[in-house]
Amino acid sequence: MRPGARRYRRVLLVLSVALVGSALLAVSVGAVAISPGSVVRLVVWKLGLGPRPNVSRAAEVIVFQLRLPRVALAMVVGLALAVAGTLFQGLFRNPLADPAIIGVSSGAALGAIAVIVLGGGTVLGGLGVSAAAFVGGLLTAFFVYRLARVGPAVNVATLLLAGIAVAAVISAAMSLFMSFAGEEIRSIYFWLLGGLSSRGWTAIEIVAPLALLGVVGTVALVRDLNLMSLGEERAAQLGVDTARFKRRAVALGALLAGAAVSVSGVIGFVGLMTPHVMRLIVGSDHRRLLPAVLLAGPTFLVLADLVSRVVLAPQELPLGAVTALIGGPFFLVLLRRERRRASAVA
Amino acid sequence: MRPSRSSLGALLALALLLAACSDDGSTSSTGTPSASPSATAVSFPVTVVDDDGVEVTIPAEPQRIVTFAPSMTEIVYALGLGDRLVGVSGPYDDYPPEAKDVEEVGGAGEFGVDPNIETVVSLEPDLFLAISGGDQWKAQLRDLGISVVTLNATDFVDLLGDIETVGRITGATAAANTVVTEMRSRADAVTAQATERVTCFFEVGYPPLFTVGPNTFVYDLLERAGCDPVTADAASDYPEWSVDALVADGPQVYIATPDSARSPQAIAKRPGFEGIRAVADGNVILVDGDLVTRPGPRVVDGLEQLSAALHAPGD
Amino acid sequence: MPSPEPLLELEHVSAGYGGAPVVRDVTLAVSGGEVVGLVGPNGSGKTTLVRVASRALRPEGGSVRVAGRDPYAASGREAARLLAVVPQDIAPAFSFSVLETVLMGRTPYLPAWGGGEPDDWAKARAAMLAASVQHLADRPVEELSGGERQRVVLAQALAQDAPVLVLDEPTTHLDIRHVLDVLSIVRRLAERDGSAVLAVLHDLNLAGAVCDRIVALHRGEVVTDGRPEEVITSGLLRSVYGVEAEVVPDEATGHPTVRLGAIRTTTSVSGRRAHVVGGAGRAAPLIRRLSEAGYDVSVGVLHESDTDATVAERLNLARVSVPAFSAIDPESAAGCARLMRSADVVIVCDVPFGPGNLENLRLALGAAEAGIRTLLLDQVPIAERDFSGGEATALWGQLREIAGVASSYDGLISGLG
Repeated sequence: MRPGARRYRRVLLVLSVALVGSALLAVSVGAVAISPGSVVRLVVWKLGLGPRPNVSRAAEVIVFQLRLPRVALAMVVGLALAVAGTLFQGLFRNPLADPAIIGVSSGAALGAIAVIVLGGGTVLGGLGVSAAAFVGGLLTAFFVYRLARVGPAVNVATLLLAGIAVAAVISAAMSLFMSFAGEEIRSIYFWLLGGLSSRGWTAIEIVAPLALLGVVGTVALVRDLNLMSLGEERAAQLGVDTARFKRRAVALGALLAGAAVSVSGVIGFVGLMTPHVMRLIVGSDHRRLLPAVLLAGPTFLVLADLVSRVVLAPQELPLGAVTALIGGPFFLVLLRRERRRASAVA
Repeated sequence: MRPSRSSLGALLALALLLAACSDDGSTSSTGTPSASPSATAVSFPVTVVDDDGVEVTIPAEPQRIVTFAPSMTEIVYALGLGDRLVGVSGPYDDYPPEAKDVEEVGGAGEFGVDPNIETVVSLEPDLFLAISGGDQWKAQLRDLGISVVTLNATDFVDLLGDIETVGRITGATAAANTVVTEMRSRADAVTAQATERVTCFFEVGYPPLFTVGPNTFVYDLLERAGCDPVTADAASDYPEWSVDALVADGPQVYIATPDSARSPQAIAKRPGFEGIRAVADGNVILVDGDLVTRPGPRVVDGLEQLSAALHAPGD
Repeated sequence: MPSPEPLLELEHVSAGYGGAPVVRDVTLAVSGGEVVGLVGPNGSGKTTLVRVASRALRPEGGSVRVAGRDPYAASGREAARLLAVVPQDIAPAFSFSVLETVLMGRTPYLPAWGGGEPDDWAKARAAMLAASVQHLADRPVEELSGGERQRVVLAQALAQDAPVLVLDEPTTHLDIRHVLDVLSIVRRLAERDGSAVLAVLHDLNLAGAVCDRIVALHRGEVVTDGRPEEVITSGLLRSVYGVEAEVVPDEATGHPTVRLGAIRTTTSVSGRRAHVVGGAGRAAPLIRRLSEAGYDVSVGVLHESDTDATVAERLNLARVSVPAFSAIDPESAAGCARLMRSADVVIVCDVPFGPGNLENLRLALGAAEAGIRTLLLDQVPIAERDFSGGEATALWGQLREIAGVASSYDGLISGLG
């Protein structure tokens, strides 16, 4: 048995329990009181494994049409963002990297805003905006990648800088669009602040397969992620096709982050914190890190969404604000630790 | 200086007096649910195309109504359907007083202006009356099987049509007829009186100074009451207006509501306002905002108030 | 015993980073069982060559063959099984244990997801043992000292189990004990396992001690390729490194050793020239001290096999010498006179004078009369040193009237001012 395997299994168990527990809690909490027991019985009934519990029709609608899809969406988005963060932290060999780093979030927001302002908000029943966001995110990532590419080689530092530059330009474009917005301003703020007010299960039906695709692709990259931590040159010396790895990492990361942003707006810090914290708990070996991230990402966002719904009920806090409020201070603490460690070693 | 202040005071007193009188008037004529909502001349299901362009079919006569605007609440009560009202938008649903006891469903969403979907669902409504805005949550409600009807009155005649529509979809056509007829005759009376036209300016908010454009409901009321707003060539519905431009426009009457100004004196004290003709002449009046900005049955009270204020002595 | 088949061959390799080529027309080969050292000053292209050999930099000209195959035509995995690089250091971004890090060396043999066969684990542990890091197996790599980390890096490369090993300055952070450890591991790999080892080393003494052959690079070209004692010479030090130093074979091992004490740069510090008339060992201490004082020293006329002559040879001083036991011929005398005339000071040591070297006194007198500053060392009285039948004494007396006199080395040196 590998060293620490027993402890690792325990960690996974705890994370699984946390995930199920937070999901249950989140579905039970809302304007209308529904007990966790009723929720469980309703789910059991829907799966055909038990009788219909004695709850009102309204409660049934609320659980299955309102809360459950929202919690499920939080899980999928949390998963996608956390895995994207893991990919980018491995690609940039920096535990402080975030999915926003190559401009996916900005590009998606711009796509959404452009469509909203140009009046396409109701195209495809509202899905037009999500589609535009997804396309915008991918195009931006592709553009940034091309900027950083010289021949077959992609300089990771240039990728980072290109991402920052492009994000700045996009930010200007967004401001321009927003100045033309009338009452669409509210929809635009949704994209910039992030939120999960979903419309039933449609959003999930679209995002979940994309997220699954992204996760499967990432699983295949696990070994290369480990090796890339030694540095590109060393990884290449050990036989890794670094150019192919970078292509795939950028593509998968953009896919995951783009899918998430297209349905939830810009939600930050999930992609940064989840892999970082999990790394502190289970270590850097991506074969252990990835499963932990797959459990922790959804849990974190479900709980953050719960907070956003509860703190100022019935008004909702924007989800992006909640994750930033938790993530911002956390990020600062991390920075201080890194700085102290770096100066101690130097 | 002194004489204009006293005439301002007189105008104010007159305006408030008229407001009080109008209140009594409206209560007695249109507010009380007098006629019972019986004898439905309409057969269900009823299909309408609402002001968002959505075709809505009401399968049966609604018994549980939720309104998401104070104006809608007033219409529902005016049609005698107050006991079918199960949900209102929030604290601004304050007329008639019974409306304050109805459960509030608003305050949700990121800006606190959306309805709480769960609360709405738990009320199990069969009709949801709304004004324009909120495409997202309206779609959500429709997905959950709730009939959402959007009615947005752009002018007085449109309002009468909307009240008739509400009557149709709730089976209260007789009551709707009564209300609309009375509103029409009172409005016509006001317009007939408005022979001498004055120029005016209607303040929606300050600071910055916001007013109404020509396609708005308030604008229509102003014209019917006998004034020609100086904002006739405004580009948008609620444009910002510069004080300097207003000085140049030189409206004869300055109209505001307690929502945006404390008193005519406060208005006169604002920087640059002494150059406005109406202010210099002391023709600043406050009207009850609810009567002119809520497209509902009490609009005629507002009309009468405006008309009286515009043609009061001292002008 | 080196096998005849070279495992690493670079032929006429030119490579660079876009501009002018950094290395030009480099040919070198390493056979199995051989340790070849690659030396040269900073910027001579050593690291570039390592990159070319390890499939990291495609050469613009020439060819590379590893175990008979072109690494650039093979996949990364295949190439990694043939050639392992030991870089100077790794700075892993994330925290891995030593064991995990060494296991990464097995990558070329592992499937995409698999943890590894027992064979891989055994090879990893063997590699750790060979590099003396087996006791650090569970420690996180970033907590190790520089030396320990370098040995982990070595272990990782050893785990690759490749027939060719390229080390890029592997002793940079190591203390002397670990330097010897690493080098003995490297030698053992070559001798016992038949690996072909190419080691970039900056320490010439180490290179001389551990390598079978040494290739010296200068400005991107190979200047010499041969056995250590052939390559590491004062000539190499001067032409390639710009350093004046003695290289002597170590008494015990025979390895060429650079003697640190005698190092100075080719151009003298003060720009002053001194000519010393010596012999019988009387000039040796003076020559050294003058050199240290920054003088460019010349000597003459000396007889070969004289101690002073040997010193002058070692220090590569400008000199005039004649065969032992022979008289000073006119040509040598003229050469010596020229040296004296171009000097800032001429120093005559208290050398025993006889017919064989009496000419030196006449030359010195000539220089002094021509105005060259002259100093005499008169520790041992001339009377005891005259084997010329009085002529030396006469000449010495004439010199004493013109030149400065010192009765000790210290006095002479301080008299120089």
